[in-house]
Amino acid sequence: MKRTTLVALVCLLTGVMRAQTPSDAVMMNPGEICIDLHYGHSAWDEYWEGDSLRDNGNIGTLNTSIYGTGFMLGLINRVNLLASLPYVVTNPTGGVISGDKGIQDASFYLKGLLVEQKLGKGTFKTLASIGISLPAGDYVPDAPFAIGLGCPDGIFRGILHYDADMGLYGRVDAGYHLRGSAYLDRTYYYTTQAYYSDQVDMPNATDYNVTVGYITKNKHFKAEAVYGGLTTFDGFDIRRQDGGFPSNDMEMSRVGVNLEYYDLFVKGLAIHAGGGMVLTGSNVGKSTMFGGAISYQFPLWDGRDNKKSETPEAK
Amino acid sequence: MKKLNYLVISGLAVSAFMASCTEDLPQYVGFEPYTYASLDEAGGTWQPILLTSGADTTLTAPVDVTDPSYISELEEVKGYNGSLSADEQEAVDYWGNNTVIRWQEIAQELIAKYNLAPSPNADGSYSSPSSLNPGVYPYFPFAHPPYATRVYAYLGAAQYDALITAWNMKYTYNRPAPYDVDNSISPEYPDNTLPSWPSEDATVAEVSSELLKFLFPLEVDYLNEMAAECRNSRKWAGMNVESDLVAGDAIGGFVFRKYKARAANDSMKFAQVDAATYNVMEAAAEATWGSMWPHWENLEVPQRPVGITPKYSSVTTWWIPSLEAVRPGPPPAMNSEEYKAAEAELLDLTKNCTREQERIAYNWGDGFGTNTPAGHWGKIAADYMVSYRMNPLRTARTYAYMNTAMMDAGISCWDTKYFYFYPRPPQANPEIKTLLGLPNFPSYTSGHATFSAAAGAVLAHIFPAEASEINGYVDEATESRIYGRIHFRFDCESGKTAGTSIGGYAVDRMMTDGAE
Repeated sequence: MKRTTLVALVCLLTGVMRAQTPSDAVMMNPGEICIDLHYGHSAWDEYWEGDSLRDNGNIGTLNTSIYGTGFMLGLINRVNLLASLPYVVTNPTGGVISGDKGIQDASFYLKGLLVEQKLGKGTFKTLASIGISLPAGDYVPDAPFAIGLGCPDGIFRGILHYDADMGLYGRVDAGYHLRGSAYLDRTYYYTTQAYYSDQVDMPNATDYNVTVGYITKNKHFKAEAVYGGLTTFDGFDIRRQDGGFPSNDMEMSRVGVNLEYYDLFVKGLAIHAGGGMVLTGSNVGKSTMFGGAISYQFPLWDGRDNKKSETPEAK
Repeated sequence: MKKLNYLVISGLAVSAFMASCTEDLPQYVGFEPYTYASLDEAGGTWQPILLTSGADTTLTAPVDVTDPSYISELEEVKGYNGSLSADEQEAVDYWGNNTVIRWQEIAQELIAKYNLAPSPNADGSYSSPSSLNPGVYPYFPFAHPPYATRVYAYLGAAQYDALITAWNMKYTYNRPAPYDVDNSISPEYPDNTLPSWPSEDATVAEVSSELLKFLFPLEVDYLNEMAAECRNSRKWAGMNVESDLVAGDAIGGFVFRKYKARAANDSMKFAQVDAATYNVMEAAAEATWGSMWPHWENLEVPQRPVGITPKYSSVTTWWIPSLEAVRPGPPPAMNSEEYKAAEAELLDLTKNCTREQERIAYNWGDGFGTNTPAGHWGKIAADYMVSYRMNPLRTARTYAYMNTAMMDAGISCWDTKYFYFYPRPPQANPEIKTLLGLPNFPSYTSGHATFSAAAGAVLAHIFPAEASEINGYVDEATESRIYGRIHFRFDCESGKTAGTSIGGYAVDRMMTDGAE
């Protein structure tokens, strides 16, 4: 009986599972590429209807699985290109409504290292990323268990990163999501008023993460803890017993951990694992997530001519 | 700095791309004020729906346009002319010169707003909305399809009867419009020779707002505000003077009271039964049909103990001669070949539904939080009426017959549903998973198919040149319930056949009401 477009959250959490993300400080040298395969799973059996946490016997537990691939390429000195493409499957354990599946949103980012300087005993870096994610499949964004929000999302992110000595590091990043419209299969919908259109204007959003981590001296192993949040501007609350809608006012805070091991068996091969949970929210599911990735880094072309000694590397 | 350029240029490109995607979205059927295809000067003699004639109420003759009181009213309109505030201009543009459509849209919006089922209580029980305490959750009304269809029917019929009455008065006294009395007034809408007393738009605003306040008691303030704006916008637009509006108010009020009296006695208050009564109905169905199919049950968790309006069948109809005359024969027994084929179709769709089938299912979903199937047809009808430049009287006639036909369709369909108590596909076979939410009433026959076929029959009669497109919509709406896997094929096809026949009774009435 319910529309529950609450999986939107998942899109924002896939980063947890990725090998490299637009929100970290990892940079590749020109000519270096890192490709990955990643998997993520999220599940919730409670969600916030507005600010009110509830369960729903007609949904049971909503499981969402993400199967994705992506790459990060050292384009030129201090500028990396990232791309990813996920396939998403949603599966409720309760009720009679089927889940959905399909190719979700393709994303492309440019990430740049703007400033890198010694500060105290460590190194301070300022990075920025600009990207866009676009629905790559023809999925229905207001389907009961939709696989995504169905809108283009332009993302601007600033990243401040400090590598202290002894392998400790800390990072803060904040992103602004400038969203375009989603398109429905129907030409009338009601949010807080009626619209005679198949077009839904999506609320913009911000998100942020605070990360602290540790990397071993030999640079093989990295562990980090993340606290983050997301909030949309505008948007509206799910009314009692209504379903979710792409342009809901979504808010949440979450915690997570990421573990990475580099040069496993062979140079360039790495594994990544992570998990997390939503702590507070509105109009989103109270998810727990876990996931993993395997990545392989290798030179695609000889970029040494451009290489500057200041360029940092992932490992 | 090269890296920065990259980032800046990409940033600008992304911003430009996103900016191109945002614009003001339409919140109503957009149309430019248009010249009416006809004025239907004889409209006052047409046969109303509920009134006996357009002369059931008559008003004291208006004063002459040379009367000082008229001249002072005219001065007020002249004062607005050419000097509207931004808000006034916006109101003039919004209401346009067919306010019948706007009031139907307002009804659609209220229905979408109130079309949510009660949430379960902590102990797994459900509370019911109460008209005595409309503001206590669950709010009154729950505008499910039977409630919604009744709203549209009463609104359309009342608007129509009120406008027939207004037309009768208009062409009895032939008061010219302000812009014809004083050429210095330039109207905001195309001028015409329709007598301006009583104002058709004040008539519609009064009857519509009063009726909607009666049906949506929590919306009184909103509806008062809309009615006042609709009414005032006629003076701002140079279309009416105050006494035109006052006369329209009087007609609207008169017709509202007639319809309110009908609504109070149409048995809708008995449509939602208590659990004890419901269990008797269910047991009776089980005794009759239990050897052929298990009786329908609500599949929600927690289970809703009573379906939606089991006694909607007892509500007063508009055109059909009797429930039995239009009730489809029984659905197939579950051991029949017809049933097995229908079940196999849904099992296959559960696994292999094309994107186009999905699109059709969602486009015609019209479930919770929407204006319901009847509202969907209201929008389709509005587009035709605008493109055919219908005057407000003809517009009201279209809604009146289409919407009353859909209410008859609903009454008949609900009679059929609770006559047979046929299970929904996922109850019959849990392997069948749906695209759409499963409604809280039995499967056979499909409400959407019945509503759509009835509406389509009326619309195709009014717009014969559009019949093939309209029938295409009916077919798509009918199929949509199969693709959505909430109905068997025979639910939909029997519903469509019944709906076509039910719509035919409304069409029969139209052919003799004097408008054709």
